[in-house]
Amino acid sequence: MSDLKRILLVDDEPDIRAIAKLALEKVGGFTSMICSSGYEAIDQVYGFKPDLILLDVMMPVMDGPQTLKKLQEKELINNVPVVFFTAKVLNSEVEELKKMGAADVIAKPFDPMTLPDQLKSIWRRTNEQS
Amino acid sequence: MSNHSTAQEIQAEIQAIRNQYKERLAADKSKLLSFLDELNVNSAHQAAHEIHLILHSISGSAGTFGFSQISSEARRIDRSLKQSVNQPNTQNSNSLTNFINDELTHFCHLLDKVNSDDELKIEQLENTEKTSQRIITSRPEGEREVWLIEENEKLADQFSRQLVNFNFKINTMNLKQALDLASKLGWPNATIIDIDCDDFKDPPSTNNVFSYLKEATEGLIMLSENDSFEQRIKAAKARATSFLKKPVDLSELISHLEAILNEERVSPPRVMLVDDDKELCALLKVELESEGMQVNILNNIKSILSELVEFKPELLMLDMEMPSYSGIDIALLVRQHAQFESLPIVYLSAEQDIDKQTEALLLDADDFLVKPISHKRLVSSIRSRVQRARTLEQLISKDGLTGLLKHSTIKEHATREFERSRREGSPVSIIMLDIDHFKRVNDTHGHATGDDVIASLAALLRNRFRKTDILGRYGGEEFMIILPNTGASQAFDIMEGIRVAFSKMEFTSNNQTFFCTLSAGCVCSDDFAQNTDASDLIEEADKALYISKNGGRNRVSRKQ
Repeated sequence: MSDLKRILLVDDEPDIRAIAKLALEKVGGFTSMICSSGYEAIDQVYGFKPDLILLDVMMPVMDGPQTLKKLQEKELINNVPVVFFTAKVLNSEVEELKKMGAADVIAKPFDPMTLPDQLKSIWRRTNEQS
Repeated sequence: MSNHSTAQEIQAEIQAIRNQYKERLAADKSKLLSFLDELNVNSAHQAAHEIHLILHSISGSAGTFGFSQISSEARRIDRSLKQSVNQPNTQNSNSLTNFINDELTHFCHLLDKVNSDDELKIEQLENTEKTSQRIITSRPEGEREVWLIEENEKLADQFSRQLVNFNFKINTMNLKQALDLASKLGWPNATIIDIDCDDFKDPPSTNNVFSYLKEATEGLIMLSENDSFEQRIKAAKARATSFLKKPVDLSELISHLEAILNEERVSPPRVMLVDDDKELCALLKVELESEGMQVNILNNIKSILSELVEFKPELLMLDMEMPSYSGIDIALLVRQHAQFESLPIVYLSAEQDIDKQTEALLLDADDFLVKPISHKRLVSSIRSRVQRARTLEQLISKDGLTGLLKHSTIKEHATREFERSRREGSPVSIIMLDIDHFKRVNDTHGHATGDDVIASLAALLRNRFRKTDILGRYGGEEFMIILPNTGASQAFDIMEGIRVAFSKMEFTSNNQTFFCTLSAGCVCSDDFAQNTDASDLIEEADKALYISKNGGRNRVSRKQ
């Protein structure tokens, strides 16, 4: 199993992007690509080749689930685990997101100090399953 | 984390982003207030949607920046708002207007408190920063400067000549010179002081010097001819790391110097935290990482075994009270697996009841720390547990005389490294070496001296090879060295250097001086066909060693 190194993050909120970038790069030591919308993510994903994608659920215009659907349709993310960020965290929503093909769901607000470890353990789990 | 940025830098950056976020909260508050101003029965439904977007966003973000209460309030109001909007009653719009009015006024008050609440939060941050400042600035890699305070020139010269073989940089001086130099440069990582010098004859000034040394130096080795309680207590009072009796056993001196100088280069303790309190975990992680430890927080208790296997912690810290399982349950589950039988387990708990603490300890744990715990106590407790576990591990896998790996362990390493080299396509070299005519050393000078020769050669090998090379004592006077990522000619050159250095080492026994030599054989995986294995390499290295022996000894041979 290779290590988790490259993470693409999509969130429309600038403050969350700033702190998530800090958490991913400085705390976790990952290489990150930070996108502010689903469109940007679709543009960037091919060139960046992420190991894992972190997607905010609620975004204007194209939300997280729509973005995931587009990524799947365009076959841009074969086997790349997609993790959703959400402030709702109702069991029904989590189930719904997982049915769509999400590897896991992380609750917002998240803790910047432990986010990298959360991602690593999701990464490990997905690799064990595959 | 320590590999990337210090905890302090990260905290500073978090603080900066947090300040930005506070501005955003202020802007959100203005928006909410403007909704309140314009709120009426007709606009309530439209406003509710906009308010929902703002509250939803705050509920998902404020906690990340340390404002947990704001997050949870935003979430609560957002949910109630949703219910109010969906209520199918005729008074709907009116009650919605009232609801929004009440809740938003309350929420905006809460947002006003961000600044005062902030003071609390900043206090916490500053505490974290204080711990971050304790990050040890590491000394330059490979610097092995040693000061030798010795008035006896003959002795000083002898030490310098011998120690230079082991890659120590020896600076000889008297006490006054040392004090002068130290006032300009500071003390080095290791200092050897012969306390039989005239400088230490006068008791009052000696006491002053000793109490100064206690504060100023680290890694102090004291030498004296007189192995008395008085001399030893003096050394202890100066906080000397070791006390050696003259004439000094060279291999003993070297192992003490190595212990001092390698101390900072040993790998950091690895600690795994299991606690349902995520904030406490994050705080502990920062605290322990600021002390140079590697910390992993277990997120999913059900994957504890795979995480243990992967992270290989040297200590497991368990919360006693977690929602679904107790710390004791987890400890027992871990102990069911033979490979974790000796893993130190420490409970961290708010449990004050001594009986319960004792019960927990009886069930397979090593220590019980009661929350809240001081930083110092926590760190020292972890360090001492890990250190003891390492010592135990060393006793099991390493040879007592040389500190190198034992026969069985080095063979396992050979197999592993050979397989890795095949997998990665990089060469691995194996060297077998043997001290020439060792039986004669034992017969002439006795077994104790023979042991000294073996220990000295081991120390030489440890110092000349890289940290990544693997050294083992293969038999009595026979050694095996595995050099990953090393080609045949490079291995040969390194071994030649060691052969020459060893032949120049002077040994003494009963005032008689003598020298020893060694023979070696090296092979490299590149010289073998694909279908060979590690034991073929070892066999060929052995054959190359015998070519050296038959060719007249004191030489290094390669596979023919």
